[in-house]
Amino acid sequence: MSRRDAREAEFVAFAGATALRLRRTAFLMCGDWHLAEDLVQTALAKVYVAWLRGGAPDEPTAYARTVLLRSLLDHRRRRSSAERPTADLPDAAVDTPHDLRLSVVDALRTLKPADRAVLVLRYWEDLSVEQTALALGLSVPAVKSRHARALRRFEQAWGQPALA
Amino acid sequence: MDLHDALRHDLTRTEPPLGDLVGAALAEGRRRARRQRRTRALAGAGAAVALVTGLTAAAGTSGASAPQATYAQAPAPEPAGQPRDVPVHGPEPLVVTGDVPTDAELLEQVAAALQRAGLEGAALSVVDPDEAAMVQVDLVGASGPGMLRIAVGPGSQPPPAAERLPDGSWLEVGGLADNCVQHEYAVSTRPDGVAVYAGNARCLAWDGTANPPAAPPLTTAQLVALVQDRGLGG
Repeated sequence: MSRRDAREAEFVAFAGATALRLRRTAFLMCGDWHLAEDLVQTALAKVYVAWLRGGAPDEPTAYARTVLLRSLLDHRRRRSSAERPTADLPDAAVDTPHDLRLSVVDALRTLKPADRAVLVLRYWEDLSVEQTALALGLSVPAVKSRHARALRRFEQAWGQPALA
Repeated sequence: MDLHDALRHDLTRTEPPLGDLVGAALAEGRRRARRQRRTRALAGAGAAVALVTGLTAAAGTSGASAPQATYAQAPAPEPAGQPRDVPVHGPEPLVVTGDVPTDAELLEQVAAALQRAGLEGAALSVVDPDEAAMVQVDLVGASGPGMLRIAVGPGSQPPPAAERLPDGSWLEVGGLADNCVQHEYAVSTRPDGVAVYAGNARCLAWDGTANPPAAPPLTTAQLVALVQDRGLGG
């Protein structure tokens, strides 16, 4: 097996193990399963190129997540006119437990993309503040202040405390 | 239910089947890798030489008025201890996270960039669409017709002699006296690893036997502004 074949096999194993989680992260960021899949496909393709060139990154999952987040945030910037944060949510979202899905996703979508990313990384990916800072290219204090602000806004939109 | 649990509850209830996401990513990755192999090393002095060599060599064999571009691998030296293929610039690795456009996308981007620069009346054509994302621009300026080539690709290494700009990008401006197609060139390597190259020619074509002379279509300032246009490769 050539070095290229070996690296490709490593990548396929990695992608198979992480694609589902990456797609869920992307969905929480964008609220659209199809778009999430497209963005993950592109992110994994970029990871593949880097993998082929230099072998497995030191922390491939973190690397793939960073590439995905950059793609998501870049995508947001490119289509900045398509979506605006709003304080208005569907009336029925908060009160009915069976409809909790909509309220969580919709509440996330009221946030600015970077604020949303902080919450998704902290509460979906279970990253520490330091890991979140690394993933987003922010300082730890910046993540802390953004996290506090994002959580406050999220709770206002969601209509209940975010933390048990 | 707090946010942590609600997120998991949400996803497990609504998620559609995954499909062949890995296969699709692999196919797209292979396409990107092919394109990057062919357009690698747009940045850097070594890369510039490689580009010239590639253009010259390819044009020398084409014998056609529509020149072809072939990129050679950058013969950049590898620092001791660095694994092969890992792009480096001093202590900072250059990780390519930006998007490299397709030929069609680059064509649109160049047209828009020329319009923003007030350079109208240009004829655009893709140079060898199977090989590289490169566009040739034929301009008619005050000094007559001129030719310009623009390419966007992943920068394997920022130019070692380039100037580091406040926005984090690297800029190199140079020229090759013995190659009319690259009489003057500028390469901007951005922090996301994408390199934008523009070459100001002193000829209208390279067909290996004759080089119709022409005035460089852009000033140096215009050339630099063009490679720094964020609409290229964005």
